[in-house]
Amino acid sequence: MPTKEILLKVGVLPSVLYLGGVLCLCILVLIILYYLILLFTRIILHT
Amino acid sequence: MHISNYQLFCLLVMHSLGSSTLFALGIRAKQDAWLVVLIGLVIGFGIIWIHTELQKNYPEKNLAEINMTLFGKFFGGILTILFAGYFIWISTLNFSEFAELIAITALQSTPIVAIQTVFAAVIVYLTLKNIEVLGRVSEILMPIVMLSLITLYILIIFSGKVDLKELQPILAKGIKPVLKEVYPTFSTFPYGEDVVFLMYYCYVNKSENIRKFVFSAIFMLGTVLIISTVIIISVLGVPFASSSTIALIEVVKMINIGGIITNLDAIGVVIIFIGGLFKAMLFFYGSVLALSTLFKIKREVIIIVMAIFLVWFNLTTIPNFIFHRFAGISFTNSYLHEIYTVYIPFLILAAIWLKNLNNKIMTRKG
Repeated sequence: MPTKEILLKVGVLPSVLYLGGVLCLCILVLIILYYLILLFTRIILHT
Repeated sequence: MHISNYQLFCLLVMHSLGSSTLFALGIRAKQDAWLVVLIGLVIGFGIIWIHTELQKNYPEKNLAEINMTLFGKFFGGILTILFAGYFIWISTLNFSEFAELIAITALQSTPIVAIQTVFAAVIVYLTLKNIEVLGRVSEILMPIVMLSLITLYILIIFSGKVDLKELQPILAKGIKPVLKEVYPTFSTFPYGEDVVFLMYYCYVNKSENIRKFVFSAIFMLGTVLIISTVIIISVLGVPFASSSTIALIEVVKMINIGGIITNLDAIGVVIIFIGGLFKAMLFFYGSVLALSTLFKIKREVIIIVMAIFLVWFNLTTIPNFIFHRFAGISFTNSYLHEIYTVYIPFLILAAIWLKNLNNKIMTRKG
């Protein structure tokens, strides 16, 4: 069954949890990228 | 407010044992289901390592506090609300599952609302008493549940119903169907579900020993699950095991030693009730703790409000057992568990590592 159909069938709270979880994953990836850039900048500046 | 390492061990075993022994896990891999559980256990160790590593970095903080310390009040708050929602959703699933199972096995004529209300009352009473009491209750009940399970397994072996030929041929269709079942379904469930313990690790007396006790609990649980799966398949056979609603009860019904020791369904129902109670309760309390940490509201108020929500949500969202299986297995096991038990904890851990590394470089520079 496609994801959209499953989300429509399963109800509001679980769908919000799934979509919110995916959104948070994306934000977390961005935060980690930010930390990585910060880290490399500091390493380059340090050396 | 503290619990001992052994109480944590008991809580973990009771929590994970809850629903996993009842069903034939990984039965879609047919007679190789026990291999699914075995490989799932190995991956489960990895998932638990991520959770305990998070705890190791912030031994005095629960998951909500870790989120807010790392990501600030806004994003940390959103993440905490999502985790609280996830905990209450799993609690709802377990709550409805066990109320329904008791209605099927023991109390056929009793309205489901009555069973759910009693179930909710017990959960509210125990959670109002706090984590210390939960720890002590699990300390008393864990040996009883384990002994009952082991007794049931021994009795079924003595009944002569175990036929190990049902497990053959091993890997008839290769390893692929087994691996397909292992991840994400049977590594995030039941092992990954222990993410809720990130709300409780901060209450443990000796936090440096947590990983040792958690790994022991997971190992013990995995062993029981493998034995349970082997017995269910070898007693019922693959077709019956995959079609039965509660495989454990069907196995228990088969016990017959000389026509004297028989009809032991009651023991099965007790295991169902205790296991379900702990699982639903720990997820419920996890969600209460997350919300009370975030909004700084009295815990007691949140417990009452959430308990009313739990019963209402159950009655309105989950109409029957078929929908429950769809929401639990097709949706939660395949979609939600993976995100909340593996990906988000791993990314939080990665953020902690990078932040620590950044701070180290800054201090070296300074």
